[in-house]
Amino acid sequence: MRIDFHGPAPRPGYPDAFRLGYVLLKRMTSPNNHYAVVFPSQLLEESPDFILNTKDSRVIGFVPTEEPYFQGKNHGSLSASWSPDSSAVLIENGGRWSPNDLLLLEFRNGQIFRQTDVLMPLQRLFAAARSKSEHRHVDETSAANISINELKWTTGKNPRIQIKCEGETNPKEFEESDSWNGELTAVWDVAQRKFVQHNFANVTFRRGRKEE
Amino acid sequence: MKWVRASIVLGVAVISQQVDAKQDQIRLVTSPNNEYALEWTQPSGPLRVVSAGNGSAETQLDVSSFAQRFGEDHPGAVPLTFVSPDGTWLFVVAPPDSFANPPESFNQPALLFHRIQSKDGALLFQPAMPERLEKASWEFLDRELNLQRGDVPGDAQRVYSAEFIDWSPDSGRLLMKISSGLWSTSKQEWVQSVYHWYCYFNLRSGKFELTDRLRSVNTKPELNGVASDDPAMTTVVTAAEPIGGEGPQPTRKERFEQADKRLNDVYAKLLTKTEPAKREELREEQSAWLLSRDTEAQAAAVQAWSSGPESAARILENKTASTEARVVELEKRL
Repeated sequence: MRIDFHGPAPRPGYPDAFRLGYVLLKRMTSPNNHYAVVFPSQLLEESPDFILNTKDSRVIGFVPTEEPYFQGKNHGSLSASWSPDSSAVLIENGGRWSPNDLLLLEFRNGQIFRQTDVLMPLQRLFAAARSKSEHRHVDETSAANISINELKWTTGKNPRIQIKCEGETNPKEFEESDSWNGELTAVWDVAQRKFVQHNFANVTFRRGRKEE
Repeated sequence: MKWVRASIVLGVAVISQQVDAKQDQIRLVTSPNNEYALEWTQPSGPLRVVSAGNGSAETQLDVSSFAQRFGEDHPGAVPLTFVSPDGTWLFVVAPPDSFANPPESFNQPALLFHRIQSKDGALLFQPAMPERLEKASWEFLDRELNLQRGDVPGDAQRVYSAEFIDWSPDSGRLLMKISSGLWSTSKQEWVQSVYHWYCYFNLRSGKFELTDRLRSVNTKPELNGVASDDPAMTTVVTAAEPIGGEGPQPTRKERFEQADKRLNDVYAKLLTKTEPAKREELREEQSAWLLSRDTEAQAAAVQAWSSGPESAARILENKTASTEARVVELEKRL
């Protein structure tokens, strides 16, 4: 379901970019309807994805990324996994092979209280697991192409989010290249800002036929 | 923290209603004096000037020269319209067609309309020139810059695009970024790189023109949207000069760095002066302010319909203004 909304006041004599060029979907709205993530249509495809405080009618943040999502973007996606109490959201800005960004936002008093990059710590887990193999051409900042399969929140005194994902290093399956695959279940503790549990399963490694 | 909330009042009024699929009338823009508005009937038009008060139709604008950009195959496409501060000029540009192949995806045609006086005070607009604005502007640049581009090789065709940048505050000038390149139909590639230039259309003389500011930046035309040799954005123009108020390019990066340094200095002094028990509160306040500053700057650039280097420059300008105001605020608390 698409939701209509008005953005910050336009410049006099200018079209309202938020009215004409931004999309708010029900699935991007928090369970308590206080917050939402909006993205631009093709009219404004280079513009950022914004976070709204829908209750107080304000724009309170944006997704800091080189590649913001826009409606209909090739090999792109944008999803928001809200904590059940609406105190936090994990935003996945999806790319062709792996997320461009995995950003955790925490809300307090109607504002964004803290934002944390979760993608880099996730890549580090994959890098550590992959380093146990004899994989060549290692890039520590992009250890594997990651597909997020499932996100599950637990709330209470220490809100946590469980991330089930897969990583692979050779998505096009070139026979010459080394291939590492693994399934990861990891738990992120919001307050501690780090993964507190992780477990790899079904890890496989195949040596490429020759050095590239 | 009240000031933080007040500083980012951006007026997002969420109506939380499902869009009515049958609602095909879209109000594109309202004139600065609230006298009239432009409305578009989806998906193919017409584009009408209506009374802002009662919505009664006054006149219809002919945008048939880029009618192929609208219709059932382009859901959601609307012409972008900008009204001059005095309400007497309309700049209408076709939306980018990001799903088309080049060169059509590049082409962004534009029209300029001028309000004419009628005896009964009716809202009447007529085209300001017989041809499309972006083509006329490129021909001007060809002559002005002595580009000698009259001949095109083989089956190449010249493709044009016009981007609205700003009206001058006196409604005397329209600032545009004009882009052009040569596309070979047989080779399916650009045979001459796409260049982007700035120029004015002088709304009083009815002629294109360059000022010293534009000449200085046009010596380094942006190529293929990349200005990697200009990290200080000295060749990016975001504001139209009023007639008689011409001046050099602003040194926006230097000004931001100066403001940022002053902010760091005054914040450090305030933190030292603050009793230890309240320092964490000040740190949180400053962190919230930084996020609100950056968010406001991004939102303002979006509302200016900026993209590419103009967007980056406007974000920096907005951040500079907010930072300078924050310095004044923190200095008062010392």
